[in-house]
Amino acid sequence: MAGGSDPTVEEALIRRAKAKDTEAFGWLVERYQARIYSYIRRLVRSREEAEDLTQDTFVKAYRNIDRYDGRASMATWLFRIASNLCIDASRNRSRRVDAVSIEIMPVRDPEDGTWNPELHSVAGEMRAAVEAAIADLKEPLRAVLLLHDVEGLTYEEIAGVVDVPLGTVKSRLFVARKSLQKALSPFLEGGVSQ
Amino acid sequence: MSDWIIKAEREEPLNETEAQALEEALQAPESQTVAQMVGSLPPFDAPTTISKRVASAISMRGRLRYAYGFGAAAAACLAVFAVLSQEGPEQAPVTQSEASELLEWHYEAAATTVLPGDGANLAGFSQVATQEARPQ
Repeated sequence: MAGGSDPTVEEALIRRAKAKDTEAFGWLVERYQARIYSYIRRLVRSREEAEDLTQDTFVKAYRNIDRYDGRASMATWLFRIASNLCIDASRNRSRRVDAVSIEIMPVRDPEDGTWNPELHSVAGEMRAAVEAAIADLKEPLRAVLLLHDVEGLTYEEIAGVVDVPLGTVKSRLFVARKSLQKALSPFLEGGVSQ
Repeated sequence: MSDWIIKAEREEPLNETEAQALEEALQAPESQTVAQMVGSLPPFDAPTTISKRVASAISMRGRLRYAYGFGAAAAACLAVFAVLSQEGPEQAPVTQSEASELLEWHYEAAATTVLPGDGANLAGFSQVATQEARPQ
């Protein structure tokens, strides 16, 4: 991948991408696809749909790259596109509240059917519990939690991504964490305090 | 439950004191513990197919743009050709006898039109003189 995290390298890539240099845009895809895919994967809870939406995110980004003015970071801009596409997808998709369909951590290895050994460790159980608790959140809360606690965006950046006021971002984050506190109380020392 | 918590759950605006309480709650140890648990989740490995699919979709858009352009130009040429080739045969010229009749009609019309002598009073233009029988 070109230039690691050097911002000047990224600026050059963006300039070339705006000139419809597909190779330069390809470098940007390589740079951000893991973060975007992870975010979408936890947001929509389906591997197949996450792949499609990730592709759609970058295609839309390529189509609109000339509108990117650099005021927000490229990551923030991509997260905004991804969030909007996920919102559109959730409106179109029939709601499946079936928790079994969550493809976050397979109980059995999909290739040979053996039990997933990770689940038998405390860390593995905790991870599964955290993923499940996140998956149980309503989508607006889940998005803010993922953007802040996983992706490290600031409150202001998140407000721009999901297009809500700053106060609403903080409220959603508080409610999301409070919900997870209850769900993860067996793993927390001293249980949940109100 | 505190009022500000209810307002936060309803996403209602908070006053300054309530917003301060919210900020403190977000910084509280139990909230930070949850944040750390969430933040420690490993990222998912993006399928390698994604970058290939994006590259394919982007290049397809470029090829499609050219294809549409050529297609549109070809369609326009065909449409013009079709219009031009649809013109009927040239109208046959009038026969000699028909032409002679038309000429005679013209002379008669001219002869029976009375024009004012000095051309000043064109109101008399429309008057038609009494037609005298033409010699046979």
